[in-house]
Amino acid sequence: MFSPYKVFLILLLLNACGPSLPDEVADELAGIRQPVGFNDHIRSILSDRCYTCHGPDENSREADLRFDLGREHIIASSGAEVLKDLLVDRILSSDPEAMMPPPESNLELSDLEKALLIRWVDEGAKFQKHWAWTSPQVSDLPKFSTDWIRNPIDNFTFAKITSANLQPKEQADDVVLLRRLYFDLIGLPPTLEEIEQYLSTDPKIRWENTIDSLMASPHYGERMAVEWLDLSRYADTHGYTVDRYRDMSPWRDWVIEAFNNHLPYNQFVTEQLAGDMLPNATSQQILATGFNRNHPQNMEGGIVSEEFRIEYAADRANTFGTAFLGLTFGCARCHDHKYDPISQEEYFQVFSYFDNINESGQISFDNATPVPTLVLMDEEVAAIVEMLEREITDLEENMQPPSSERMIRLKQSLNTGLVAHFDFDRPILSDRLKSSRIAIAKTSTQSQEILLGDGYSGKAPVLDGDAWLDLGNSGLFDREQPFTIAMWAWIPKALKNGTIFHKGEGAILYNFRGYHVALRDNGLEVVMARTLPDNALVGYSASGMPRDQWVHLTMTYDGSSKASGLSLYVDGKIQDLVIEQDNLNKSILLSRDKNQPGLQLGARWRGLGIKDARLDEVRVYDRTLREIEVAALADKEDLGTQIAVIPSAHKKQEVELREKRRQLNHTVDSLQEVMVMKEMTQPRPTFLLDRGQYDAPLHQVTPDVPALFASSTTEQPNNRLELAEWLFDPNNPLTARVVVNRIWQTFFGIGLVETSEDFGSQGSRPSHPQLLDWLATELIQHNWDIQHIQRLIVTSATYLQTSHATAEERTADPQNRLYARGTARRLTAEMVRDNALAASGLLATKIGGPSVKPYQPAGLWKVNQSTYEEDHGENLYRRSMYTVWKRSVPHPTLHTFDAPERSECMPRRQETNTPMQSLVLLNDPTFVEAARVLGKTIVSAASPTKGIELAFRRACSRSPAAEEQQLLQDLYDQEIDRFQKDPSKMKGWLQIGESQIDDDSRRVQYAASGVVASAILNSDAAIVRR
Amino acid sequence: MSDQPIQNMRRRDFLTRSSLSLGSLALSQLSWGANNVNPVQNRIKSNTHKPKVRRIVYLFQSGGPSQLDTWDYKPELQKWHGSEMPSSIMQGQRLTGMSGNQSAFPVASPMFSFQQYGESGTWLSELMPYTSEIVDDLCIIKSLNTDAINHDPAITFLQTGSQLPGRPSIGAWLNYGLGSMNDNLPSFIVLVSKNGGGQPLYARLWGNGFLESRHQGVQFRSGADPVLYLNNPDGYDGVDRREMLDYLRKLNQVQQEAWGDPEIASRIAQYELAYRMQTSVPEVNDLSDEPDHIFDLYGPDSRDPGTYAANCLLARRLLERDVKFVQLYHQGWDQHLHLPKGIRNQCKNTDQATAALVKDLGQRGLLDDTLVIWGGEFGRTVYTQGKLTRDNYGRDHHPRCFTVWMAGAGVKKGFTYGSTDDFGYSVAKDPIHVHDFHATLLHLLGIDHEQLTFKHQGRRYRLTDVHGHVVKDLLS
Repeated sequence: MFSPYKVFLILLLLNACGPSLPDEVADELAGIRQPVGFNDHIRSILSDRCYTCHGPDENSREADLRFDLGREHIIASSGAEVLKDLLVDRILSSDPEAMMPPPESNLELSDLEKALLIRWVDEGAKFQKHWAWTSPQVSDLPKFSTDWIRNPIDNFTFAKITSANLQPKEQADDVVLLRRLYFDLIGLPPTLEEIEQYLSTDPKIRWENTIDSLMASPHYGERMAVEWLDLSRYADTHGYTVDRYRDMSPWRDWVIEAFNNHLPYNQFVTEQLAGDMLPNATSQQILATGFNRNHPQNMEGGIVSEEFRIEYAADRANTFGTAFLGLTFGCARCHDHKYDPISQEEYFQVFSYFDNINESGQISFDNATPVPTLVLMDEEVAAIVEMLEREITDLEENMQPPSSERMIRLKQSLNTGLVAHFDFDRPILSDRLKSSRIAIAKTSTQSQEILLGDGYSGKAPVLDGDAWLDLGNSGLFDREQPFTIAMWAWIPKALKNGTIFHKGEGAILYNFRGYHVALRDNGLEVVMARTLPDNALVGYSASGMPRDQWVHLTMTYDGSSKASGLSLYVDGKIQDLVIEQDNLNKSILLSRDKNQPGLQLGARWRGLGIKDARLDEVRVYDRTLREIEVAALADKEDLGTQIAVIPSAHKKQEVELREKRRQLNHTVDSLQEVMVMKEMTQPRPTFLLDRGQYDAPLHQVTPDVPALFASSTTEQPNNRLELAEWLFDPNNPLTARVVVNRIWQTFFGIGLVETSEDFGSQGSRPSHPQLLDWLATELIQHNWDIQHIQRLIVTSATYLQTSHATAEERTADPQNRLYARGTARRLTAEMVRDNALAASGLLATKIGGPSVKPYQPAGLWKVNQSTYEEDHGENLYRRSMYTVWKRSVPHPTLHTFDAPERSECMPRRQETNTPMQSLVLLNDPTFVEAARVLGKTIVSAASPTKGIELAFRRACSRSPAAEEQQLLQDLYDQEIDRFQKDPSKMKGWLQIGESQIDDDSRRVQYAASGVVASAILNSDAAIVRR
Repeated sequence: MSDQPIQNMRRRDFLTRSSLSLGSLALSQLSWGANNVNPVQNRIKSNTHKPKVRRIVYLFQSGGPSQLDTWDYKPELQKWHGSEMPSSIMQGQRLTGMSGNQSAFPVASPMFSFQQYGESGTWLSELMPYTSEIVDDLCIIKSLNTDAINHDPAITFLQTGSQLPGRPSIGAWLNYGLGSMNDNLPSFIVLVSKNGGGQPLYARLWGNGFLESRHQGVQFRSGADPVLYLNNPDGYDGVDRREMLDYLRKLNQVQQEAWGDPEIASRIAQYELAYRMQTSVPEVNDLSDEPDHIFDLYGPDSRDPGTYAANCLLARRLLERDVKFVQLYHQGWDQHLHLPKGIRNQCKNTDQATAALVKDLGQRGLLDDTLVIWGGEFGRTVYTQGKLTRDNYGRDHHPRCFTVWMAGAGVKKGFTYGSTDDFGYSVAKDPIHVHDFHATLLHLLGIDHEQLTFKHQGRRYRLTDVHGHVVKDLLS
């Protein structure tokens, strides 16, 4: 907008007649009694109001002025004056041409902010590096002589509490505290027995003992996993519009187990980021990398695959940035980051670490697990697979020689194994070997007429490039079956790409499952695939084939599931194939019982065909033809030539080999696959994408981390594994801070840095910077032991405080950022439901396994063309974290209580309070049933009074106060009366849910108790952890 | 690192923050939900101009209705029918993976007759006889264009201003910016035609994105339980519930006295609102008090709850009760193949009720401050997808131009804006981009689209991202 020269001019003018100081600003100025600190007060103002035009993004920078690099830089580029009067004049100006921020930005400075900037300029306009870009600093503990302090956390909080003229609170009531600890560590309430046991144990040891036992509980891993699942955007469906089911629960169970095994954070993260690249990686370590693949994946029919492949790599990079570094990394995808020193170039450098797996942007419509995958096997199956593989190798290595003394003529030999032959020379285009098999030209809408022209011999179909010639069920082979497809082809010169023949269901929509031979960039491609691009054999011959003439083309395959088993012949000559992919480990047939497509010629559904080409004399063999046989088909060898007969011993071995391979295929095919990371051997070149768009590559970039991390001593990481190692360099300024902050958030609701997703200059300042750094250092020094930090927190006086507070105390610190009291929080979505299930005794405590379908109103999945079929029995009562999570229609019981959609990395949840939540707690069958079952406690107690007391304790852990007891008693009487007068009112209370009441004669008591229990489960005492 | 707060600043900072949030609470938190975490960062200080529109009903035709067979009359196409598309028209534009590999792209002239209607002389095909009666009320845009070419990105773009998931929907933005106008109903309500078929929908389309979850649309469903979990257990009526809730309230009050937590008072209030909804929702949802002539106006389907027609009628009732934004979805416009049959059916299911809603709002005076919008996420190609035959063709997705219309408050009547080339392939005059469409929509509600922002992950987000111009020519 302004050239440096113009800036100079304006500066002169303004100096001469700068605006005067408004009274309001002067008042604020007078109120500032301490020196202002750049990081404490100024950076957030400059960042939020100025960086858009005067920050890191080069392309939007105005007047060549930037406030993100420091004083020297500004002086060097714009002169010292900018940091003196010009800044002050501009922020005080009311001239629309001069004022800053300019009116069109819709940004303003408050009077206090103006005053702070003015004071800062007065004090010499000193800059500081952004706190989060420097390594954590260990400072001395603030010393106090108070016996309130239990561990160093308290030294830091006490300093803040007292400097705000507040006093810390006493320890909370035992039961309240125990409930708090249970929810925080295992996400479940304590049982009444556990409460009793706790209260009767020696107070000196019971708190620590309970912590030990909870951290050793298998439910500990479940509790900790839930937050990790939010961060990892874990769900049970693919997302996007079609949003079908996918099962990544083995990965989810890995997370639970990792927490239960107390995996140190560095190992926990390294295995998830790059477990596949660890030396001798175990299948568990490879499974862990599913973390990177949990993002949504698109199966919409018309998408451009590359567009979404780019989205996936970007999602992995963004998640890496947010989850481990607390950076809003994705902001630098389309342009340099507006606020933080991350250039677009650097974004794509990090992106490139995640760009290197052999995946498809469009995933398969037949629900194949998107590649690359890991096939999961338990030990038993693994042993069977290993045995079969060994037997197959033995057979392969010990084959009898395939020739004998006995000779036959080629003509005779070529009749052996011939299973289909289309010559297109008769009025009905049928298979010469099976007259009921007739070639039909098809498009997606209807059958077409077949246009015939002169063939290699007689007639041949002339292809239009859109309709494919369907040869019925010919060519139906799985990967253990050797076979040969041979034909004469006349292909016009103009075609560079197009399918010549294939066995499969159209083009990419089914990820090319089957096999094909196609023109690709003028060369010839042969593919045999389970799921392209990774689970497949791909060979490519650049020399292609002659055009505008009849050429003989043959594909042979030996049943080995190896790329070396594929051959292409042109005019009888074997072609040199470059092996592009050699990884086939599951069936190549479509997973359906009927309508398995067979061999099709000349085009494929939604794919590119060979317009104006002709194909003739199509022959299919269920064996691998020998080279001389192929030559004979290509008229390069006399049919009278004698060749050796294959001896029966060899044939017998072939049959045996095929049978073993079939068994292996069959065994592996039914095994579950999960998406994992698998580094491509040939790294994919990554480009900086203009505006972040998939189709606008500019120049190639190489893997590296942003320059802002120059303080790390680890060398520049070259791949994902090194990137993970780099994260845990002790000098990395963010890794440890980000995770201890999230741990803090787990226990206090809000992190020390409130914006746990953003530690950059637009993020919030830490409330306790020294404490944050102390905890980060403590984590590093204790070998990234997460439980060590958690233990410090739950044994601190800060954590143990009661959450009672006066109105004045709440006004002084509404969000409790000073920790002058304990923190009360509404239970999370999962906890609200789990608490009700646990209180009623319905909770099924089984850990892990595929997700389940508890009660959900009918028809919700209809918008998505799918049906939710409720489970029965135990699955209705599993912990909420196992509820099937469909991204497009999240389960309402949990979603209403702020469980996120899980389409992107989510480091913290909202905590809202809405009428929809009230409706869930009042009427959701889950809660009505839980109330009835909890109500049984009242029905079967010696007296309603005793029963109510017991039910209340089961739901809320503590005993009801006298007043509460009385209210519930009155409610009970009211409901008994109601239901006695009109039994029809009980209907829902008695019937909702699968569980049954066990005593029909006490229906009224059951119903009334259900209402009472419902009131308890709806009450603050049940749903808020205090 | 310095760790010394400036007392003065802390105090003032808190005051500024809280006054900001109080201001926006006044706007948006009148009744619908409360939040105890973040102060609202609403930046609209006041409406920049007087709004002409108080309510919106958006009749979203999901799947992408063909503009060529309905609104965008192209007589020249008859001459080209069956011929290959001229490359000068296609200009190498990106096509979807569904037709992009076709070896031929023959032009398919619509097989429906067109006629001019109304004083405005608006051309419309025979498919929409009822809509032809209201053309003089409509402000028709023939030049809307979008960046996306597939359903998920395109519908997400039209409903949230971004092709990628994660942004708030239009209704959520309005809810956040303008709050509610009534105490008993959500201010953003979603209705989806039953038995939709076609391309899927997903809750993200009416989601809150990064806004607080109370801003998301509440789906009203046909059948016995119109709002999730609204119904009490069978047999337990409103009076019973009231008496139970009174005890619950007292129970919570005891807790509040014990802990002094204002959040408990807020929860008590949420239960009260929930209870009011238990009465008001069934009341508005029960169409039985509508007279026969109204059902006749909307057509026979309007007596069948959950149909498009019944939802149009329900939408009118919601608007009457000052619901700010009613979002309808009707699926099934995705006619890649067999378009003639498919679109005939779609129009038959929607035409009468669409027109009826405009008429009905008009006769009640509601059209003076209500805006009706009709349209899908993109248009369809002039070339056929699949084989062209005498009586059959299909059309693929087409983002470069499509037709939507608005009617009611703030927009011109009997007016057509923008035009396309002779093939209906590209915009010839006055393009309107989705961002412009959103900017104009917000303008009609009295909102400067550049000022309705929410700060998330350090950045101020808008419905219009960093784009969008108000199309003044549309405004009355």
